[in-house]
Amino acid sequence: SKISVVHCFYFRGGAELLFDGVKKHQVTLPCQPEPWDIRNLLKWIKQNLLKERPELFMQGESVRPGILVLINEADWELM
Amino acid sequence: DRPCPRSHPRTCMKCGQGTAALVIRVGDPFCRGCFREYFVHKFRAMLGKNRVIFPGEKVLLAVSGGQASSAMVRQVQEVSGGSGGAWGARSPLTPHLTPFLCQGLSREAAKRLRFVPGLVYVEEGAVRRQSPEQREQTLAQMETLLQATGFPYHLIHLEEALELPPSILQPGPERANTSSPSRPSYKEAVDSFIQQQRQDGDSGTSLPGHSTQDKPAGPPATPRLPDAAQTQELLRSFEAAGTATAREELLEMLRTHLIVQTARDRGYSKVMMGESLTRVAIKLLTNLSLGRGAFLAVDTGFTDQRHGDVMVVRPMRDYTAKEIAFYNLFFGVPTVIVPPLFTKRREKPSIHQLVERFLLGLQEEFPSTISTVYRTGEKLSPEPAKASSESQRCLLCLCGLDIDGGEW
Repeated sequence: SKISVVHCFYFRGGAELLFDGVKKHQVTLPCQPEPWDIRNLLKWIKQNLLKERPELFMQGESVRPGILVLINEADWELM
Repeated sequence: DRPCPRSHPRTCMKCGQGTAALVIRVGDPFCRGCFREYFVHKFRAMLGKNRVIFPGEKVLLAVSGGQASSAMVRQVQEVSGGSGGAWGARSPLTPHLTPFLCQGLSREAAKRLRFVPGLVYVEEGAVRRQSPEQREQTLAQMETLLQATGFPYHLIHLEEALELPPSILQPGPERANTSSPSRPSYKEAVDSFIQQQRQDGDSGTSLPGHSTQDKPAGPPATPRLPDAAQTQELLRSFEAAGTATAREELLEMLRTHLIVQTARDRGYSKVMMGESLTRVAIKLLTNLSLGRGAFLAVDTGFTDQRHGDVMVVRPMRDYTAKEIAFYNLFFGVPTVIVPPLFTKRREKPSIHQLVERFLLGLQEEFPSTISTVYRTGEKLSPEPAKASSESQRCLLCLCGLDIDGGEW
């Protein structure tokens, strides 16, 4: 399943330090053939929003262990 | 690969009705409401089970602005009979209150077994590579946060550690402990507190021993930043520490000394530190690697009595970092995040960082890793207290020197 438009990313609890201290990012994602699933979202965030120390945010294709992810305010482990 | 949210969300395993908001432990979905009850209940049960906080006792909460200590402050507010609001009537009783209910006491009075909290914040911007402007901003944010609680608070700078008296390197004179004849047992203290409440009517009168000495939240003059000279001297000490590991240990030691000294100066007999389960598990393995195996119980246990007159307790040690983060997010607990301790370019990571990376990494694939480490740690208990005249103590950490031969 795909998400076609995502509006807001929030970085909190210290994660914002990797994004210039900015907690709220409102973005419009470009159209592309690949689906906007979490893997691709994270890649896009890393390329376009992340300002420093990528190794503190990502590990491989996922977030670094210890970083919590919520989707629409719900734990992504529920999904 | 994780699929996106779909139209049929999972239900709470506790009430069977609410939409699940998060997964607790290994695979238990909880809705927000049940999660809140679980969280608040755990704090009350922690205090009730351990029975070391006496009614009316002055307790100093060490607040870092981080997730765990901020959640801890909120729990103290909840336990102090603060609002309760819609949740007051629904909160489950903790087992230790049941006997008092049987005496015909109202639920409200039984729940209001309050102690007298104060807050302390140690500003560490110098060693976290913050500019003076950033330090001022952090201080301002923290002061707002602390003032909003209504509790008396104290703001101190890490630089003040340079002026600590030598007495901090020794345990203070022990106050009467629970087994001493001159001090009532926990049950006796609670009984007499409840009696007092009954006489005063269940209308929330002042607590025994509550002095007006610490004026609540009329702010003391906001402390300015320390002299540049003091900051330089502090930084020199940290540079001299040599390795990232030594620096982390130095920071923790100075911070603890400052907090204990503040407690001592202001008549607090207990200090609450906000170390989470995750942090405790990491500390356990880190300290083992640092050669502190003999002191794991006192370094990570619920109570830490090495300072004598001031007891340190860790009421958040049963909450995972995840539970705390979700609680703070869902229920609007404010935090003030600061950058980590400075590290030099191309310096090897500290043992603390390595252990954290190791445990969090392992946890991804083996979700009971951290709780297993924690539970193993729970089985450790501090050595029965030897008379302090018998054993020598380490000057820095106040633990008994591990010098007796003895059997392994």
